[in-house]
This record gives sequence, C-alpha cells and structure tokens, in this order.
Amino acid sequence: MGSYRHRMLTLKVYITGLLLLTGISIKAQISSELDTIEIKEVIITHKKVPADLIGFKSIAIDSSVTGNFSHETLADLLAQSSDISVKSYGVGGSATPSFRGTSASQTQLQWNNISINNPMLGQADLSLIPVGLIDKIDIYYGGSSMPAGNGGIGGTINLQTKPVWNNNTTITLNPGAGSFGHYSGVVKVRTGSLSFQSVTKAYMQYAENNFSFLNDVSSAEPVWEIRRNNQTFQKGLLQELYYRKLKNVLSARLWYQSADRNLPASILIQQPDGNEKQLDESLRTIINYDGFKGLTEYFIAGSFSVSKLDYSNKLASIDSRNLSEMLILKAGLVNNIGQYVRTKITIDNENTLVKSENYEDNRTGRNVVSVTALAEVNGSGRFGATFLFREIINNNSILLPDYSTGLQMQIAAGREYYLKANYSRNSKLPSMNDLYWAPGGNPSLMNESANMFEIIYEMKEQIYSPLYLNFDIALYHNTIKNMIQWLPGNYAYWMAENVKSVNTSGLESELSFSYTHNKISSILKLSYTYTRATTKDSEITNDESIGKQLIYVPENQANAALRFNYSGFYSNWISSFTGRRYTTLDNTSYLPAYFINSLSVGYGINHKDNLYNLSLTADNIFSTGYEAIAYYPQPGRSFSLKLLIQFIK
Amino acid sequence: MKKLFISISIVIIFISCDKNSDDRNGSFLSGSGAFIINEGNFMGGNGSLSFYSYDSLKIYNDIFINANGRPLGDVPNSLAISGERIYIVVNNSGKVEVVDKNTLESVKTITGLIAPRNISIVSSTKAYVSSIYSDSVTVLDLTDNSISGFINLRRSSEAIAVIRNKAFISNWVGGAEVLVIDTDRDKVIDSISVAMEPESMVIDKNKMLWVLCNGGWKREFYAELIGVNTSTNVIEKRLVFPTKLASPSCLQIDGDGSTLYYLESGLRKMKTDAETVPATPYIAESGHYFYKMGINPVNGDILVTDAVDYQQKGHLLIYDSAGKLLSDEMADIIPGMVCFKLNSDFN
Repeated sequence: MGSYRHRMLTLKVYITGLLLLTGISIKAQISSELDTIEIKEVIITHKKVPADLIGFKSIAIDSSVTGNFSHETLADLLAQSSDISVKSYGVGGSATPSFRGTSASQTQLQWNNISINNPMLGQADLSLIPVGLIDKIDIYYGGSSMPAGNGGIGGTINLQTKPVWNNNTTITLNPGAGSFGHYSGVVKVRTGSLSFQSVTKAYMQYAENNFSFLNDVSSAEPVWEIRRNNQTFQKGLLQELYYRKLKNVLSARLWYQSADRNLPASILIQQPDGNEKQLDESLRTIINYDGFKGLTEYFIAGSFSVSKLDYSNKLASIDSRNLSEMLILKAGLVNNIGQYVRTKITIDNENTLVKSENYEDNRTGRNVVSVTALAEVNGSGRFGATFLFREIINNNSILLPDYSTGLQMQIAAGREYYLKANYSRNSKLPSMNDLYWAPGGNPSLMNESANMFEIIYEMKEQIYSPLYLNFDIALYHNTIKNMIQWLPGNYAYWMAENVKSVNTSGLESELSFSYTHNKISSILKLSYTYTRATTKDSEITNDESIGKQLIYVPENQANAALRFNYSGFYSNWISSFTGRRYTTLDNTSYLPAYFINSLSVGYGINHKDNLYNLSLTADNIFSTGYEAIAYYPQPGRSFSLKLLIQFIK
Repeated sequence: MKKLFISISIVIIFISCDKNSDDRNGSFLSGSGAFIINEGNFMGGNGSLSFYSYDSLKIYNDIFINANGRPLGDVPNSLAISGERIYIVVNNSGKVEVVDKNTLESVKTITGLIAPRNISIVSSTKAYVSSIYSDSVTVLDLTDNSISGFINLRRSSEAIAVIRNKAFISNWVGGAEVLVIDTDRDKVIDSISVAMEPESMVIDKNKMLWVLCNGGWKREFYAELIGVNTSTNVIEKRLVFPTKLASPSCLQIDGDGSTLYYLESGLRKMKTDAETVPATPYIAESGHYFYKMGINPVNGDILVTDAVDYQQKGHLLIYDSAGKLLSDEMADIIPGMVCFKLNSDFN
C-alpha cells in the first residue's frame, strides 16, 4: 500500500511539474502575441532544436568539412574530424560511435530530428550513412542531446538535409574513383523558386576493398595478404520537396538507402569467400510543417520508416531476416516570453514494430510517448539558464522522469568568453533485442540511466584582424547505472540483465586559428580528448573489470586539421591520433595507438556561373598499419580522385 | 658490507632470472598437470592455452603465444595428446594446431577444417575431428599431420568416444542420434536414437557408453542420461532428469570408470549403477559460473572452470576428490576444456 501511495504521490508531482511548464508555455503564447512587434527580432532564429542550448555543448560540422568526405561514410568523417570514437570493423564493415566512453546504443542518430537508430539493436551503423547526401551535421554532447530526443546518454548526431531558397536550378555531378576498386558518384539536383524547392540526391558506391595487409598472427612468419570477401555496394536516393509561405515551411522527404556487403572475417578466422553477407535496406519518410504565428513557433512532424536487415552465414546455416517499422509523430510549440525567456514543449510518439524469426510469435511492438518541456532564460545577454523536464511512457508504464539544467555566464560584457555548467539525468530504453530476443530477451529490464555533470569554457578572440582564435574546453563526469549485459542464466541460453554501473569522465578541448585575407583563407584546428571510462560496480561476483578502462574506449585522442585556400587552390591536411585501446576487461591486452595522416589537394574554377573542381586525396599517407578492432586490419595508403561539376542556371 | 650487498644482489638476480626463465622457457611443461583451453570471446581472436602445474601448484597462462609468438586463434575448443604431440582444435579459425608436448612449439598447422569442435585419438596414426557446421567428420593422419579424408555423417557432430574399433559420434545441435563408425574402414555402420541434443559422452569400466542429452535449449524436452552397450549398440539404461528446466552438460568420468560427473546448477556426481540422477549438487556453484571440468584420473581431483561473465578472465577451481576447494587460479577468457597430462610418476 505504501508503495502504491508513494507512486501516486510521485505521479502527482510529475503531472504538476508538467502542467507548470505547460502553463508557462500557454502564458508565453498569449504574451508573445501581445508583444509581436516589440519582440519580432528575437524569433528570427529558426531552430527547432537549438544548436546553442544555453549552458551546454554542441557543435556543427558544415559543408566545408562534409565536402571533403562526400564519397565516404559518416564513420570516416567522424573518425577523422571529431572527438567521437568510432569502433570500425574496417573499411566496408560496420562502424558504431562512442561518445565520452558510452556504448553505441547510448548514442542517438537522427535525420532532421527523427531517430534512425535501428530499433532492434538500439544503435546505428555509421558505415551505412553516405556523407554526400548530408548537408550539415549537428553533434550534441551529453545533456545537450536531451531536447533532441530520448536515449542519447552519450550524445546525439543529427543529420540535416535542407533547401537553398533561390530561383536557381543547380545540377551537381560528383564522380570519383580510388584505390582498392573504389568507384562512387553523387548527383544532386536543386531546383525551384523562393517558395518551392525540390532537392534530389542520388548516391552510388562500389568498392572491392581488396587492400593488402601484413598478417603477423596466422603463421610463424609475417605474410602480406590481400583482404578478401570485403566488397560493398551502396546506393541511395533522397528526394525532398519544400513549400514556403512567409516563414512557414511544409516539407516532404523520402530517403531510400541500400547496402549490400560481404562481411570479411577476423584474420584469425578461415572461411570461404562469400560466407557472411549482410543486406541493409531502409526507406524513410518525413512530412514536416514548421509554422510561425506571432511570437510562437510550432512544428508537426510525421515519419514512417521501414528497415530491413538480412544476415546470412552459409557455414553456420544462418539466414536471419529482420524487418522493423517505425512510425514517429512529433509536435512542438515554442514560445518567446519577453526578451529573455523561451519555452518549448515537445510531444513525441514512437511506435515500433519488429518482424523477426528471432522473436516470439515472429513480431513484437512497442509504443513510447515522451513529453519534454524546456525553458531557456537568457538574462540580459550575459547570464542564461536552461531547464528541461521529460516524462516517458513506455507501453503504458510511466518511467522515472529525466531532467536537465544548464547555466551560462558571459564572463565579460562584449567579449565572447563563456562559462557554462550543466547537470542532467538522462535514460535510455533497452533495445528491442534486449527485451524480446528469443531466447534470452528480458522484458523486465530497467532503463539504463545516467547522472551527468559538465563544465565548459568557450572563448573567441580576434588576435588581430584578420586572425581569430577559438578555444573551448569541456570537463564532464557521468555515472551510468543499470548497464545491460547478456549473461549466462540458469538455462541453456544467455539473458539480458542490468548488471553494471559505469563512470565516465574526461575532457574535450579544441583550439583553432582562422585567417582570411584577400584571396587567402586558412584554418588550423587542434583538438584533444581524454576519456576515462571505468566499471564502477557490478553484480557479477569477483568482477575483474571494476576500476578498469572499458574495452575499445581510447583514453587519448587528438586531431589536427589545417585547411588552406588560395584563389581556386585548396588543401586540407588531417592528422588523427587514437591512443591505446584495451581489448580485455582487465586491461591486460590492448591495441596499440596509431597516428593517421591524410592530405587532400584540389583546384576549383568558376566559369560562366558553373563550377569545376578536381581534388586528389591521399589517405593514411604513411601507410600506418593499424586496427580499430582486433584482427580486423585497416588499409594502408590509398588514393582517390574526385571531380565536381556544378551547373547553375 | 659491500661484498655482502653484492652477494645478496647476485642471489636475488639469480633467483629472479631462474623464476622468469622457468616461466618463459616452458620447463614447467615437463611435469604433470592439466591443460586448460581458454576459448576467448567469439570473433575476439583471444583464445589461449593455460597449464596448471602439479609441481609448482600454479597456473601458467598464454603458453601458446609465449612459445610461438602468435595467438592461438579464435575459439579453441578442445585438445588431445598423442605421443609427443598435442593437437589443439581451434573452432572458429577452422584449424588444428599441432605442437610439441614439452615445448609447445608449433610443428604444423592443419587448415581447411570447417568449424571443428572435438578431437579424439583413434590410434597412434589417426584422429577424428567433429564439426558443428559441416556434415562430415574430418580424419587426420597423425604421421604427417594432414587431413586424410572425411566421413560423411549427413549431420553435424560433437562428442566423440572411441572403444575398440568403434567411434561413437553424437549429433548435438538439434539432433538426437549417436552414430557409430567403424574406425578400420572409416564408415558409418549404425546409428542410435537417443534423446534431444546429445552433448557429451564417456565410456565406463564396463564398456558402457554414457550419453548426456541436455534436452535442447528451448527446454521442450527432458534431459536424459543414457547408457549404451558398445558391443550391441543398444540402449540399456535411461535416466530422465526430473524437470525440463534441468540443462546438464559436460559429462566426465573418474579414473576407474565407475563414477560419473556432470554440471547442472553445480557439479553433480553419481555412481554408474545409480538408478536416478542426483537431486543435489556435490559441489555448489557458490557464485561461480561452472562451465567445463575434468577429473584427474589418478587422484580424483576435480578441476572446474568458472567462466565468470564470459567476457572477462575466468578461473580454474581445483577441488580434491572430497569436494574441498584446494585452489582458485586465474585462467584466461572463458576457460573451457580441461585435459590432463600426467607423468607415470604422478600420484
């Protein structure tokens, strides 16, 4: 009885909190309508999910970076140009992200703010995302991911595709070829007017990935071998239609993506060619309406996606066919109250249906509703605060709420020096496989939940015109509870259980210098990341992993990038360092650190409004031998040539 | 004083060098002990070999990589000793590593096997290797350590027990049969219908074949312990486990062939003439995850492996024949099969 009363009391507190925040929103709407003229300038930032959430850290990767990776995957881009650790089975193989020492399933991947994580695995394969289809990438760290949606304990990566509002028709042809039988091409057509835009993008890539590597583990003497059974064929089509009236935008998007891959085995495993294959196929749609009325912004989005994942292993007689469908309905209301307060309330309903021979009755569904209320206070420009509260209802069960608060201070008036701090409680629902896989799925699993604390310092300074300096550093500490692990149970199969707690802490820092003068522009970026991720406690008897660094989480990572443009010539040097990664839970075995360098050079000219651009890239210039996962070799030096022709009419 | 210091230093250095060289050169292998196959994580490539020495009463890990400078492979599963050679079956690497018994230095790597599981020495010149995925048993020629042929079973294979000129081979995953092979002709000559998923087998002092059928992972069938007359290939005894939830594994037998051991929520022990399976464990798990075991054929020691969570390094638990824990040694990831190497002077 006591427990029931406690739950009811807790529920009342949550509902009261929600109503209070909703009340703020309603009040704000009324207020904003009254003050439309006075406040109008404030609402020009059209952001459903603000990239600069007060008191939090997020970054954007724009076309200056994505352009260099237009023929590569999101995994390649993030591995070389971000502080996110990417665990990759090698070129062509699957690749998953790790933010701040968290697991792949604790990272959310979104497309225009709609989750595209595989619901069965609860994670995304970054090797399936061609950068050529993406216009901009937002990366939200830790608590800053919470306005974007559920489950991003480590963070959220949001892929943006968007229109360019003009009357031009732009046709872009972007073929490329490279080492190891790599052929790819991107075609983009943008056309329309100031009120209507159609964007069509098509992508194709075929690669043999038959690179040579030194095998020093399979026999007494090291032998140079050719990586086999590593072919990939990917294709994708993205069609987007936008209609704009005043600032209101109606959009419809469709994205078809297919990846047909042979999966190479570890070099310690002998298996015949073509033994393991995986076909990933997805069709995703989004219809979205962004509206403005006075000082009120609102949006309604509906998304339906179907994802197929077929895996076969001839030797093991496995032919696993899996289909998941997701229907997502999302709506949000943003109000500006006076000059300093902004509220946002979002309702998100995700309905998932998985059809798999590996589930009881071959199909299982789940419905998750979440309500998120956000208030941002930006006091006279120098002080700001964010408050967020979220309630999740999972198949009619009301879960413990998530919440977040962030504070921000501009250290000196008129100077771009900021100090930020935030604290969040975030959670992630178990994946469908963790819950329902037969045998061993455990419907009684609790959410993985995290308490997260972060301090950030950011500054931007003009050293002298035109040389600018940017610097930021973030220190964070997370405690993640109820981590899910599959363990042997009392029967002849394993079961998913909540067994561990994990501490992750570290720092991320970036220093950049940018210089632009006449025909010269240059930017130098240096970043360093330290990640300490350890098992805090465990329900496993004599768990040797307690206090040890989690496997495949590097403690040290660093990146350096130097971009230089002069007239039509440009070059881009990227160096990335990944430190030692342990491969056993007791940290007695590890993969050595590696240092990879790549260089792109190119030349572009404009002729009669048309653009012609030719670039040559050399990856892993010094042919460093390395592995991101043990016994899955990565390629040595490789070259690729890309041509870009853009017709503008 | 200075001389004393130098003398002590020399002694310390000498002792240190001696200890290290003993570990490094593998001299401990000349004594009696037990090999432990550490399966490692599937696809992790971190399988390894350990040796528990009865001379030093300690375990030596990573002895294959120390001897050969390369990892053993992905999921080593079983091991057999024949003469001066050790044959290590590496399941997911599809190979058999042949090494010298006393140095562990590689003699040959036999490749081209499909998902090999268990090895049984048929004679001084021949061995059989079962396979979890292929339809055939691989025949090894031990004179030149090569594949000499295949015996088509038309089904996968797991445990192998050899007596006289017969080999009994179980069809484990999804199966319910034991096939009988004439080892002189390498031909299937009979099949015996047993219960669901015959996982492990031993032969007792009366030449009775004991087949432990675990009932299948779905728990739709009862597990059974079945006795088969190896002369007639006829089932003579069936002991049915009391509940479908019972999922026994790893049947072993003691040195004189009169006591059976297996794992099922702890370690169970029973005489071969018992009429029911034991209701309670002989050794309780007590927070461990018992995975595999071996019974010392000379002194009855019970060596049980604890796989912990199948992710981190496991343990080798050494009990005496009375079930008293003698030692707890850290092995490697997923310690599995235990294979004794006992010299003639061991007692």
